[in-house]
Amino acid sequence: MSHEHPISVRDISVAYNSTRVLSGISFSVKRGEIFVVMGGSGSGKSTLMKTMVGLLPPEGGQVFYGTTSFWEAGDDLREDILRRIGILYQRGALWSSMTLAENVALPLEEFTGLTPGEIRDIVSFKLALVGLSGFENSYPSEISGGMMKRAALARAMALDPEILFFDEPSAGLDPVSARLLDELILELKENLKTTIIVITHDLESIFSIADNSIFLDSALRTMIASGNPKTLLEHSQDIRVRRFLTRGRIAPQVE
Amino acid sequence: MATTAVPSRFPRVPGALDKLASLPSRALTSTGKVSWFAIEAIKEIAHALRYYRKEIVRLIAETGMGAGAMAVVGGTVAIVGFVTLSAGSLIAIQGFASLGNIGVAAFTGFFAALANIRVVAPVVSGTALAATVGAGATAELGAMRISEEIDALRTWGIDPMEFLVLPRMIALVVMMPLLTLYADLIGIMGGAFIGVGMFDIAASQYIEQTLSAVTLTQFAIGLAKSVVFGMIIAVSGCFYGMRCGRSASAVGEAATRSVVSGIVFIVVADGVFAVITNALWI
Repeated sequence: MSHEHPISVRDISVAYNSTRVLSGISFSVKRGEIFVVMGGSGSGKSTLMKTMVGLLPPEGGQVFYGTTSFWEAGDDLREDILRRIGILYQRGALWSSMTLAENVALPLEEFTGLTPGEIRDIVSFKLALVGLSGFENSYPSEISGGMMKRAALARAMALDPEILFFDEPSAGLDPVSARLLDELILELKENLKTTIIVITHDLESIFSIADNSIFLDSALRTMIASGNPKTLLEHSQDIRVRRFLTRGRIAPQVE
Repeated sequence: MATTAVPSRFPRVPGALDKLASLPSRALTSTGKVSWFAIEAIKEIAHALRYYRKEIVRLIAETGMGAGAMAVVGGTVAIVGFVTLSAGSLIAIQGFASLGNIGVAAFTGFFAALANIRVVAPVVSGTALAATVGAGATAELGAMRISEEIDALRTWGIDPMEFLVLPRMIALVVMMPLLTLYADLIGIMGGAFIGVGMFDIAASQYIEQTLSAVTLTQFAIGLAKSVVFGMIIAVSGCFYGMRCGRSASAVGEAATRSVVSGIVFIVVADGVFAVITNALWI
């Protein structure tokens, strides 16, 4: 994936049964940037992410990782791509029967030839990176929502992914925890140069972390704007985009 | 002229009949789906045994001792023990009464032991496990679907059949015969308490009758049934869990379906065993 655009989406359309929920989605994500997919509830943000990470096949269009078309690739190539991405799910999706350390260790045990001692060291390092040192033996049910998301982030980073997906990272978090998670995302971008794709409708988060974005409209079920969110706020002439970015308060110059 | 539809106050008989008529084909379809699901899982057994041994051992312990709320009330062992003790006692009571009518009440020990090891222990343990471990597996997998844990496995390239389904199948296939042996013992003890303690059959006579019933062949039949029942409970529990909808009510519905189909398949399998062993004169 040593391509300037590690991930590109070309004219994707997605349908559940016969109902089309997304169409005409095209964008490219630059290496090392934070790319936000934003839009209101029901606009298909999470559906788009599922198609990008291999959980939901598209009805049409392609998702490219570098120059490889994900949905046209064979099983082995797809698995290889999936091991180079990390995903933080909306609810964390930590495996509840395992401790935090076991959650982070599982991908390492499964996909690397590392010794148990090396795996233990990496697990401790990843958990320390998200501020969870000392919680190695805790179960997901024993920690708070914010800690759960950070632990899930440690697991997503287990194999040092080139691309990280965040599905609604601030959902269910108090403002302080949400802010801390945003700072963590920015640190990952700065320190590890990871390409990050964030699915969110949290405006505070969008304005503080996004380099680039697309806006999905729930009525048209497609993207109607793209660019830096602050630029969109200042210059977009589309009333739906402006309404979203101003929390429903339409900016004076448009009215 | 406009017409107004009047809702019927009576049940829709044709609709209900349609549903009833399609029952055999629906039953066959779902049996086919469950069987295919089992085949898909078994194909991956070598990989699961190699990579997920820790998960298999954890599930074996959980199946035997229970987990969470189940552990609080004593776990699966306690439930199977209680149910088979009751069933063993009831068989002895009924056996004593029925055999007494034809003047052979002394054979109560033989009858109770044979019924226990051949039918009651495997079927009662299987039913108890379908309602506890089977339903638990369905609810756990359903909840994992809702919380996206299964999606997380898939996007890591970890096959949920290998990581979630097969370890549960192996755990149940390993634990079921052990629980059945334990149920054999408890059921026979229950019968002995009743026969010796309540009906004054001589202890030596009861033991002698029991030992004459407990042959290696009878034990083997009971254990073979328990292996098949363990597989049925695991497949049924996991099948409905992996396919349940992403809502709390869907999880409840899936758990009910898994218990019902688990018990139905156990009874059907027991019938098949009876026909085969009868044809083989064993």
